[in-house]
Amino acid sequence: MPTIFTPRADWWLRGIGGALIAGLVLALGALYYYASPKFTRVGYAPAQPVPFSHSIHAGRLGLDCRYCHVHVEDSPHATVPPTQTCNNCHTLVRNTDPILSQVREGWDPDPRKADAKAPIPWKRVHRVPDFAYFNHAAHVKAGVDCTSCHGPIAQMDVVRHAEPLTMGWCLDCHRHPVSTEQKVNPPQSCQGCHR
Amino acid sequence: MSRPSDYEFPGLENWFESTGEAIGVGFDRRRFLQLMAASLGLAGMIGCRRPSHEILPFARQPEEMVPGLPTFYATSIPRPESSLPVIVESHEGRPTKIEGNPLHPTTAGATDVWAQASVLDLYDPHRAKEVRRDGNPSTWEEFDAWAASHFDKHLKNRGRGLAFLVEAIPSPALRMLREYQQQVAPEALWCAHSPLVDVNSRAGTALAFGSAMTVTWRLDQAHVLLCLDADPLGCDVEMVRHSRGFAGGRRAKKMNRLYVVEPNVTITGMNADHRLPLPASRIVDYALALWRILRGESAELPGVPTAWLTAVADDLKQHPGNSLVMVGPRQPPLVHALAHHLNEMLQNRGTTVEYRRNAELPGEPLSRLTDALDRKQIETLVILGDPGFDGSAPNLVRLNFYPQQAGGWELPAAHYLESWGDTETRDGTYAPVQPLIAPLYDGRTPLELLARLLKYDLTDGFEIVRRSFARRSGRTDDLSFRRWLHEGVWKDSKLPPVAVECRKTAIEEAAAAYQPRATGEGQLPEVARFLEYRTYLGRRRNGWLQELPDPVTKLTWDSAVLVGPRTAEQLQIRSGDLLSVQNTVLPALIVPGHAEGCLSLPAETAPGFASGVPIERVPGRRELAITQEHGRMEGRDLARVRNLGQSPSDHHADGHHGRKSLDLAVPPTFDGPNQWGMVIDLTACTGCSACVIACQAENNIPIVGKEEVIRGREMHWIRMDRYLLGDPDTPEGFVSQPVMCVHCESAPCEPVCPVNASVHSPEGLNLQVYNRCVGTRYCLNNCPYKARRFNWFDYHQRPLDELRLGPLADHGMAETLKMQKNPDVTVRMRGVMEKCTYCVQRIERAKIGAKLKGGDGSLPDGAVVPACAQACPAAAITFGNLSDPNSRVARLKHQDDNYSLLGELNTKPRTTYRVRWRNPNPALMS
Repeated sequence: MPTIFTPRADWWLRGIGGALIAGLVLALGALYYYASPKFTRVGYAPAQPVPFSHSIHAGRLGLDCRYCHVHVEDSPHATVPPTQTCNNCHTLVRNTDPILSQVREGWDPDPRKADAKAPIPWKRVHRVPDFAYFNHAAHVKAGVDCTSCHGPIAQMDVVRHAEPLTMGWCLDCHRHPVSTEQKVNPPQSCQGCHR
Repeated sequence: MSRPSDYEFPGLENWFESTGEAIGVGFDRRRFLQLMAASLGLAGMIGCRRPSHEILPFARQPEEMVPGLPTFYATSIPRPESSLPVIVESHEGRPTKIEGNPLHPTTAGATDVWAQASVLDLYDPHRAKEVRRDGNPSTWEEFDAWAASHFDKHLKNRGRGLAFLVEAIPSPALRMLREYQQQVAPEALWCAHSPLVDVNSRAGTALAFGSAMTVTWRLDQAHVLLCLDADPLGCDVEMVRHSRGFAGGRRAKKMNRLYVVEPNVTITGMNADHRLPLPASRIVDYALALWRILRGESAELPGVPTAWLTAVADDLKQHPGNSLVMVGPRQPPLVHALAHHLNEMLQNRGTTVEYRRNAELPGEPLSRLTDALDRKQIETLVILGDPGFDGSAPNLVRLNFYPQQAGGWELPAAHYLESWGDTETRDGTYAPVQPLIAPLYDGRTPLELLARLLKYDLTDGFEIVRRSFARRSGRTDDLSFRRWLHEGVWKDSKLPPVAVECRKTAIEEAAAAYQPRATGEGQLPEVARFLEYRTYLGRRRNGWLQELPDPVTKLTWDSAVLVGPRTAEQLQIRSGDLLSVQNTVLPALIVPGHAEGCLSLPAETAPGFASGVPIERVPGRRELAITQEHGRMEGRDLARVRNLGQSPSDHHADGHHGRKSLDLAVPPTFDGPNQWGMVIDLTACTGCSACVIACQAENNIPIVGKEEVIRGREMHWIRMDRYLLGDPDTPEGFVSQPVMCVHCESAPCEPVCPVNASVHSPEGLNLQVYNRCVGTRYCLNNCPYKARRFNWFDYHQRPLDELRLGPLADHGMAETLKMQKNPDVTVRMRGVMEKCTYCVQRIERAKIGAKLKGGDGSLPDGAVVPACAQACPAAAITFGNLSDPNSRVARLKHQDDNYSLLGELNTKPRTTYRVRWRNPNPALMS
């Protein structure tokens, strides 16, 4: 009776089995890496309609973050500045530069006309899910620096997503808050962020 | 194809079971597989990069608007013969929630169901959106051009052939325009009408005093109250003020006592210490008998126990100056006049009842208008708002909130949240109506339209109100005006009550002239038209109000003919049988406690009653969506009701033969600085359900539709339980008990959740974490209070008739409906469990606010008020920090009559109840 399997068949079987397991491990590993916010979020740096450079304004010129993000100390949102804020300076500084054309077109010295202007469609970089309620004011009040979550923003020409902003990443800090000035007591129960 | 109700669970089979055309259309297997493959592929792609979002800041930042923080504006809701001053919460320019105005002297920050639900009307996608002429789209410019020349003609001949029909709203600005109309077009007809105007009450004051007056009841001053078919705690424009006063009198050291004589059960009847069901036509007899007894004569009433006359009369007599007799709008003027005389005899004028001159300029009665219309004397009829009357004329101009298809000019009306205006409450307190948002559909207000039609020198709503304010308040300075807008009421603008004397002879003559109806066997039952609570001051198309269980019948989505159990047996009708009465076909509903020998039919216009009305059974039945069909507590003391003097404890639940089970729970650690808790006072709670709608508005709770309510899937976080006391067919009393998640310290829902979505916070909140929930519903099954609600469908993504269309069908809701959502609360999706959170968003807002202010971040008592407690007109709900021994809620928890619902289960609920105390008259206790 002829043999059906060659002596090497066993070797093939093991080889295929091994390859399958390795493939599965690789796929899981890839999923773990590529599907996690560390990969999907960090590094996101969309081109903005006006190439605003934080490194020039916040870095070289040394503007306080709160000059533009005015409500960061009292609102959940840091707030993106209105076009008017840009024009506080840019009616005088580089007021003919073509890269600022949208800033000039989006505003008018006459308040009534300015109200009718279309907003500049800034691209959103940082975004937490709808069921997570992040509050800028509470964090700034507790002494959390902007760079803790937004990275070295004063060196960025294009704003880049610097930290993963996952729940685990939030909890790292909420569990071990470091503050030299005041006793902070960050919430660790679900209600602190999920409502 | 099977009917929807053949399936209990929305599985794969009944994706296509729904009503719509999507049944199998366009979804063959190949197409399904193609789409599935494509969506799987896309899902993989989406994982790589998030969809791009934009942030659109203002070009010029408006002052006072901070993105992310709500702003609050004072305004008022115009109502027939009254108004309700409110504070409106606005998020980034979108009004989302109505609260009462705490500066208003009488409402003290409370609201009612209709006010709470009114914000939904603003965003109704079915509103009138465009100007139409004879059904064809037109524009405001075309209308203005037409009106300019057309009304010129009318104004030239002093308004002949012109008629205005306006809603009867007490507005000084409207009065100002009315005066102007009398100057420029004196021959024009002016009719102010509303189906809710209490014509009988006006006629009653005219009979008693010689001129029509506004009657104000002060329930807070009354120790003994008698309602003759009146519903001051329910269908009444002053319901908030009455409820507040009544609850105050219930809590007072000397508890008040309420007698109610009425045909159908009302909210007031549910709160009575003694309730006598009597057909509407016999209430005249009762009032007359009582009047005679109080005048020293003797009287008897067949079919009514004598104690109901003598004991009530004695009780009233013993409280001169602190008793109050109230009569409802259904009763004829005679009963109103008798009540005025009774109140005068009992020296109540000035303490419990006040009379004020009617501030309205007398318009023509509606009958004049219908006459003139019939005689074709009216060439142009202008109908403004919703006066509850339809008429036709060669030229018809209608300012509508909903499209009417009535021909003529149809103009979109502005919602009160889009309007400039002014109002007065019944006592004359002057309040502004200011817009929170520009008109969504270019609607105009009656003021603006009138000003244009009459060629008034001002046409802008703001300018008209400015002038009206100056006239009403006598102040022309900007500061006073701004203060009025800011505070929402003008201080000390209340009109003084007038002293009036009853014309005794006129009343005596009217009483002598009254012929009692002949009563006999074999007659047709009497039919009374009653005001439906849910839509009394609300719009019929409002989904929140439609799905609100009626406080008495627990009926949703339908109107029904109410009938008592015995009469139903005689007529051989069951709940759900269709009846044809007075050209209306409605299902019957058996209501225990309803007077026998009569039926109650929802009022389409004014309430009233008639006998000898034929009632016909129509073949067929209608399934009714009732959220609580059972009214008994089955021997358990769930809503504890005690008469004064009884022991508040329950031997059954509070350790009677050691029934309290062995506590094996390991309690969570409660180490937070605030330990939240709530106390609900059942003595104060009237069951008005304002909390239910307030919670719905605050917490983005969807409506689910009639079909789903029948399946028991309503989503209200607060369930208003209604129990009958005594015999279930002839109950001696009722009790309402709001039940929401009680935040057990040893919560049965928590250990059964496989994914830890139901967890405890260190502050004692039982949290439901939506992003963890996978929808096993174990928690719901293990909750002894049945306080959890499951999202069976994507209620926020689909209209009610498309819920079952499956995952591939189009999603989407009207954009405007999204605008109402509270951005501080997650909008839940299909497959997620939800329940009362103690308004955790408000707790967190207060805590963050305290932190930002500096200091130790501790919250003072009353810093957090959940939506239900804020809305409650009776102030029955108290919320606060239990770890502070001086907080109101902690002190209430130490009262003797504080008890835990199902406390024997050792759940240790944080929400507890206080016993409902009753104050029955010993002379009436059998």
